[in-house]
This record gives sequence, C-alpha cells and structure tokens, in this order.
Amino acid sequence: MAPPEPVLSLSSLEIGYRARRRRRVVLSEVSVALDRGEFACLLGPNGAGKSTLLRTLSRVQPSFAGTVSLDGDELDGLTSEDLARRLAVVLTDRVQIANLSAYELVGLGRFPHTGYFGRLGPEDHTTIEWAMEATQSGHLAHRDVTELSDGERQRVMIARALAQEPKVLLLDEPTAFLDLPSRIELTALLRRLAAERGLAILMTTHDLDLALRTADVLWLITEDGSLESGAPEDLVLNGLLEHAFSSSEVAFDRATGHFTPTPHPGRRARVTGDSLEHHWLRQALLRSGFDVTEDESGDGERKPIVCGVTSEAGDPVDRWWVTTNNEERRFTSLADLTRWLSGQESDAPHAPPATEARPAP
Amino acid sequence: MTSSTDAVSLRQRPNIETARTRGRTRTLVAFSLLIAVFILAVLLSLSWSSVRVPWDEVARILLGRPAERDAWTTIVLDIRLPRVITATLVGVALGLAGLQMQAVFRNPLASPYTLGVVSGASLGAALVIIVLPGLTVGLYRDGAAASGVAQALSSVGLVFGAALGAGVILLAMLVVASIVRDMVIVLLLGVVLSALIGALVTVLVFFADPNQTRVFVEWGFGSFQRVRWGDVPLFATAVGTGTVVATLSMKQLNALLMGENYARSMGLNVRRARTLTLTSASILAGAVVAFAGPIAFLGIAIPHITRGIFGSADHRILVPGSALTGASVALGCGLLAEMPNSNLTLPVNAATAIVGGPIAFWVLLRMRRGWGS
Repeated sequence: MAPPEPVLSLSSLEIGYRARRRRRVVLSEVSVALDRGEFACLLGPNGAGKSTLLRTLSRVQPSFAGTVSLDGDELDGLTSEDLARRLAVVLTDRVQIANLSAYELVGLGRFPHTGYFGRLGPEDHTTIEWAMEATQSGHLAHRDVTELSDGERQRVMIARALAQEPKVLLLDEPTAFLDLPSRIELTALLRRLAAERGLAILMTTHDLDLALRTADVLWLITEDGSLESGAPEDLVLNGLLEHAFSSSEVAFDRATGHFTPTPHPGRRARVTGDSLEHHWLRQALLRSGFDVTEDESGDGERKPIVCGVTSEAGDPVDRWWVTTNNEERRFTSLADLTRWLSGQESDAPHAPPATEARPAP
Repeated sequence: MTSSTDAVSLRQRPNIETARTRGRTRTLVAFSLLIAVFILAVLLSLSWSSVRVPWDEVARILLGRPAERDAWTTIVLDIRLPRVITATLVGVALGLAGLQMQAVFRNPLASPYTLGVVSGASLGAALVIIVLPGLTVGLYRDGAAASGVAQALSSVGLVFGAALGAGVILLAMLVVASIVRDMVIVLLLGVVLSALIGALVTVLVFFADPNQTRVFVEWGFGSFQRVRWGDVPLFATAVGTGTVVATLSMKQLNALLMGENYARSMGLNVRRARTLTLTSASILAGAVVAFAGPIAFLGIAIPHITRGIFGSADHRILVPGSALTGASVALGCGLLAEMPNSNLTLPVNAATAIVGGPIAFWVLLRMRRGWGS
C-alpha cells in the first residue's frame, strides 16, 4: 500500500460569511490535513461553522484568508470542472425527482466527465455500475428515486458522488434522517470506501457516539472558534471532546465516551454487581439523575441509596430492590423503580434526607 | 467475504441491466407516435376548417400542382399554411420555454407567464393599441374596408410593442435573478410584477375608447391567424434561436434537476446557465406573444404532458419531446378553435384552456410526488 499522502490540506484558513457587507469570521487559523484513505468526522456544536467549512472546501463560498490545497493544487486555481473531478459532495438538500431512476441519478454524477450533450459512453456506464456496486445500491438501480427510503436514497446519493470519481468526498450530515441501523450501515460503508478506494472522506455529524467508534480522525470545532484534529481516543483523553460538548446539563464520561445528564446534587446510588441486569440498572439510575458509585462511603450528610437485583432465578416479579434508610422496596420493572424514585424527589424537593420510610405513591 | 460480495453482485446485476435500458422502447415508440400525430395534425389543419379541402387536393397544392379550384390553392397556401406554421412555432416555443422555466426554477408551476414576460408584452401591446391609436385607427372599425397600410402598420406596431414590453420585463427579471439567489423569491417577484403590470394595463383599458378596447381584448384572445408569410422568417428565427439554446443546454438542465447546489458541485456555472436559459425562454415567449398574442396554458401544460408521455426526467428526451408535443397540441387547439364545418371561430385561448386544462389537471394529479418542497 502506498504511504498516505495528504490529499486535502488547509493552512491558516480563515472562514466565515458576509452579513450586510460585514465579515463574520466563524473559524480562523485552521490548519489540518486529510490523507488518502482516511475517514474523518467533523464535529462541533450547532452554529460552530461545520457547514461553513464544508461550503468553503467545496468552493461554494470564498475563504477570507489562508489556502486550501486539493490533490496538490490550490483550490482557488482549479476550473469548476476540474474541481468537480476531484471533489464531490453529498448535501442535505432533498432530492426528489419524479420519473428519474436511481441509475439515472447516479449517471448525473458523470457531468464533469461527459461531453457537450452529456451522452454516456461505455466507460461512463462502467463507472456508474461500479459506483452502485460499491455502495451496495445496485439492486435499487431500476427504482424511481421517489420510491426509495431515506437510507436507500442516501446510498444512491453517495453512489452519485462516487460517479464523479473524486479524490475527496464531503458529506453534510448524511446520517441525519436515518434510523440507527441505517446510520451504522452508512458509516461503515463510508469507512470501507475510504479504506478500499483510497478516498479521503469528511462528513459532518451530530452523532458523537458513531463518530467516536468509526472515524479515523475527528475534526473538532471548539467553542472558541478553533479546529482541533486527532484520533477520537486522543481527543477523549486530552479532554478536548469533553470541553467542546459538556455543559451544566450534560456530563461526558471519559471511560465510556457517553454523555449523561449531570447528576442532581445529593442524588447518589450504590450498585454492586456485574450482570447485564446490573448494567441496565445503572443506566436507569443515571437517567434519573443519580451519581452511581460502587463504594460505600457516603458524603456524611446523605448516605447513598442502595440498589440491586434479586438473585432468585425464574421469578421476574419483584426483581429490583432499593434500600433507603434501612427500608427495602421491591419493584417489578425499572419503570416502576425510577417512577418511585422521582416521586420521592418531588415529594420533598428541598427537604433534608428522609428519616422514615414513606409509603409508596 | 468474497462469496457474499459475489452474491450481492449477482443480485444487483439484473437490476442494473434493467435500469440501463429502462424506457428505451417507450422513448422510441413515443417519438414515433408523436411524429405521426404531428403530421396528422398538420394535414388535418390544412384540409379541415370552415371550407373543406380534400386531402388529395391538399397534397397536390403542397406539391405545387394546380388544384381543382384556384380558391383552394389560395386558402391552403396563403391562409392555412401560415396558420399551421404559426401554431407549430407557438407550440414549440411555449413547450420549450415552459420546460426551461420549470427546470431553472425547479417548480412545476413556473411558466413564461409567471416571469412577467407575457404581462410585459401585454403592456406593450396595450400601449400600441391604446396610446398610439394612430397606428391602429380604422383597423377594426370597419373590418375589411380598413386600409392596407394601416393594417400593416398596426401589425408591425403590435409585434414591436409586445416584443419591446417582453424584452424590458425580461431584462428587469434577469437583473433581479442575478441579485436574488433564491429562485422561489424570483418566481414570486415575477408573479407580483405581473399583477402590477396587469393593473397598469387595466388603467389603460379603462381610459380607452370602446374600439381600442375591443382591439386590445381581441389581441388578448390569441390567434394563429395574424402571421402573414412576411412575418414568418422573423418569427421562425426567434423560435429557432430559443430552440438551439434549449438543445445546447440539455445537459445543464439535467444537472439543475438536483438543485443549484449540486449542479454547482458538479462543475456547472449556474449563473451563466440560468441567464442563458431565462433569456432563451423569454425570447421564445416574447415571440409568441408578439405574433400570436398571450396564448394561455400551453407553457405550463406541455412539459408536464411530455413528462407523462415519456415517463422521463431526462432533458435530452424532454427537449425534443416538448417541442413535438407542443407543436401537436397547438395544432390541435387551432383546429378546435376553427370549429370545422362551421362559420364560428373561437378564441385560441379558449381552445388552449379547454384542451390544456384537463390534461394538465390529470398529469398533475398523477404526479403528486416528486417535486418535494
């Protein structure tokens, strides 16, 4: 395999948009590169400039300063057709065209390669077929694009971009309207395309979980308007991810890479055990705003409630138990358990720890 | 791993083959039928009207042989042939203009009317008919007795006025379209502008004397009968220019199917394509209004009818398809307006609405999906 070489590199790029003749700088001093075969996810809070960056890279809008080099040449020096042969995009624009088959839609991607009348030659057909097979959308070829599901259409749109035979593929939130399995499928497909075809792929997403698990590189736009890049794990460990997304409402768990609601002050629960049931019990408690620990030490003021799973096999009734202030309660489901816990909280929102058991609501 | 990939390929292959050849037969059959219908419409229009000229006589006259009656030669060559050419040019022009407008605006309701070109032409015509009455005086006041000079002047003035009006509005809308990027806004501005100009025309008509009003109203009915042989070269040149532009921009129109952002990402110079297409659509529509009056409905209906016939969104099919369909439909409307075997002649606009309306209605109902918001 050839050594990786940057096919897209940005140096000291300053981007933004013009509003009423005034420049609004969104990102500045962006210096980052993407290699052949790399799959990168561009992350950042809403309004941080993800779309602006994508629009600048695809030359829909000009940059304010700095340079972008695409496959060895400066972006600004390319003719529009040359640019289209190096860089293709999948946008959020909804494409619903009556009487157009998926095959014809992918064929539209041949635009920068065909002659004056757009006639498709044998090589064009070969490329279209290759693009459809690479995205596993060949079985959709004869269908009208209006009949496709969102996931299917997205694959066809990627095939259309591939038909341009680009070096770089930019995608703007391609997973936004997909269900979870389709999102995972699509991301896996992009990752494979990057690796097997030597494409450099950059996609914006809000799906942090998916990005953490699949991207080779994350481009992370931070709140102060700079762009950090690195392997997902590095960005977790050095705290940049946490810094970019955490707020008073959500906390980032560095161990799992998940975001959870910030625990309510004083709500602590102790769970010991490693079974699947214990795992989901913890999840339920986290969801209800508890800080879940394993150790016994309280903070003096308020002892943690203790929760667990009964070990009697075969009888699902009263499987879950909670001990508060030496009184044990049993619950058939985690729904009952969390409902009871939140009832406890709302009964006495500001009261000191209860000294005697309350009847269940 | 390899075997599963092979399995996928096996599953995909037949569908890809189907997709590649999809619609080829239908396209061929549809083109053949449309050409046949067009020829039939031409022959019918030449032979069948208030006076019936037998088919074989029509053929003899067209081949330059003497007909059984001299009057037939005059009727066919000097009255009906220009009418047939006019209807054909009108249909081709409006079909293509509508197709271009719908592609550029990505809106099924876009037509030359919505851009204000037709109202501009109306204003021009109204100015010529009402404000410059010297040109038209005596034209309709005592019918056939009107002096030939006045008639010639008036028709030249009308053509000139309508073309000028269409051209001014075209330029204004092109300037607007180059400033305003959002095509929906441009479309709505066209609608608003049309209403505004309509109001001006209403004011002019309100202060006009009844004779002038009548001339203007008759102009508004649309007619395929105003074009004389002398007008044909100019009309044909205008329509030919628009047709050439439409033919050369088929690939660009296809790229615009997916919207401007995608078109730009594939290397299309969107602004240039848009300007060129709108210019061509305006020349086509302006020529029609100038020579035949504000013909209603065809511009919006013909592209939809063509899409229905061919079941395709490919402009390499739709451009020739719309031209052919447009010519046939316009000829059909002309025939209907003539009310064969009667002395009655309907306004062409009534015929185009009667023919085009229900077809457009049906096609639009069938479309439902496909023009997402």
